[in-house]
Amino acid sequence: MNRDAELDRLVRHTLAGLAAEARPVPLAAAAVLRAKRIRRRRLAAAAGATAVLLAALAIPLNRDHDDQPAPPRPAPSATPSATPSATSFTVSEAPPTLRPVELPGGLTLVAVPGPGDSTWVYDRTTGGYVTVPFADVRPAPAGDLALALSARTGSAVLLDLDDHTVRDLPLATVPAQLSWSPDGRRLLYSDPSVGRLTIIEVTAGQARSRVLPFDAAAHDCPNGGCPAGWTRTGQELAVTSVEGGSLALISAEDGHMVRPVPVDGPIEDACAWSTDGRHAVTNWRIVDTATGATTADLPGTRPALYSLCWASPTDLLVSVTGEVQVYSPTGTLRETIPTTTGAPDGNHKVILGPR
Amino acid sequence: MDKAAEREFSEFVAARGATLLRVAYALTGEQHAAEDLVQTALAKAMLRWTRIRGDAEPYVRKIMYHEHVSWWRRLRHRREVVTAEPPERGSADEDPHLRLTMRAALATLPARQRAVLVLRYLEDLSEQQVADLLGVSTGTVGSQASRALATLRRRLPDLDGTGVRR
Repeated sequence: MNRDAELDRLVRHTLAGLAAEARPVPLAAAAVLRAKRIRRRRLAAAAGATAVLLAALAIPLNRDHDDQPAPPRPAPSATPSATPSATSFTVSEAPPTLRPVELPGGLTLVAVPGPGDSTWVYDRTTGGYVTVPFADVRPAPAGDLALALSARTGSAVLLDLDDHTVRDLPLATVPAQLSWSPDGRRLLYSDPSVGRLTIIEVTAGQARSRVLPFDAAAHDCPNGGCPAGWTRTGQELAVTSVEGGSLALISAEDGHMVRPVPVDGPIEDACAWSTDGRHAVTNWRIVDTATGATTADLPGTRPALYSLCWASPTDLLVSVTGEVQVYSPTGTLRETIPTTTGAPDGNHKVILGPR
Repeated sequence: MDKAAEREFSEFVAARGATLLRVAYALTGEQHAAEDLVQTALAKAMLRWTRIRGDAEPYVRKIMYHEHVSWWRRLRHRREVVTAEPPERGSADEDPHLRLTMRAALATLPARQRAVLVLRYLEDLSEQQVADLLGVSTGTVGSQASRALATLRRRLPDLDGTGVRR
């Protein structure tokens, strides 16, 4: 093959490879929020232009009265205050017909999109659902914290479902880019552009971030592209290399290499590991973490919106619209559990998590 | 936007979002930027939904490509582009090595040149279709593609005649 044809082939393959790396994420909610912000800005700009025009018209009129004393200027109505670190939000009741579905392993649907930008969230204290005025809510696997998308900033915020407060996070990103540790006290942010791993500690009402010492070059991440996820214990992070072939388990505490695992593909979060760590889900297939062998391809193509979580060493739960499917490690569909939630029609992401 | 239109928009995003994201990833080379690009295009599409419903995808794609070029123009003087240095001349049968070098080389291309390559090689569009989408002449498409390939060729000395493992 001549050099030009070889170059054409390589460009084609490289672009196809890049395109295939895109991880599907929910896009509609964020796009709708962004559209509303654009509309608000346009309206504000139009109002501003009108005000300028009126002011321009008013100045000549006022000049007629230059000999009169100027009217007293109104005093500021309030002294601007610093943005509080946490603000309250209103929680309302969820529809009484919405009851938690009992799923294997003590799991249930912990977040179900409600009407508009609201979400019905499972309340671990009462065992029922409450309505919170946020979209894209991702409750922590334990405790009372949850991530959500802020309509104000378009970024992820931290909700405390116990005292009904919301606070900004120390970095601007969207909920889909963060993943909860199994204890619900830490968030992982993997920045694909620089191969940086950031841990956000969210204990004691505070959110503090720290960058994990992590040698991206040593893990074959020369230009980013090394996604990471929690392990089931929460003590390590599984880092994918660009080359694929294996995951590097590194300490979530200090970033030191713990051991490699022969899994070829990224791990989304702690729920993607079976409870005994023997199997994991990557790229829509189940793999044996000891050998790296694929034990099953999950059926069909990966849906745009889904949530999955291993409920035991042998039960993988996959939530898609309207039902939860239970698979064995070899991909046998053992059970289908209907999850009619009363949520508005259409595609939406329902989150699985512990009760 | 009324409820029916909003539902229609959500259905469109659910059906086509993943494809748009793949194209955006090929344009930007990173997940965050790709999501941002698609969401910006979708937000603008949503504001015009009543006019474009039924045939929204060409409009969204057009915005994506134009936004991408526009972002690159705004950021190129402020942002450091992370690229790998062209490697020392090595064994040409190392596919991963070549692919990484190609990725790094693609990341250095001006946005319009990269867009032309994505449209031609990923989306398999003709020169005329690319010209229509980008709002330029077919001559410009041809010259942008030639310059892009020339740059890539310079940065990939390993391609020189030895072939690549398939």
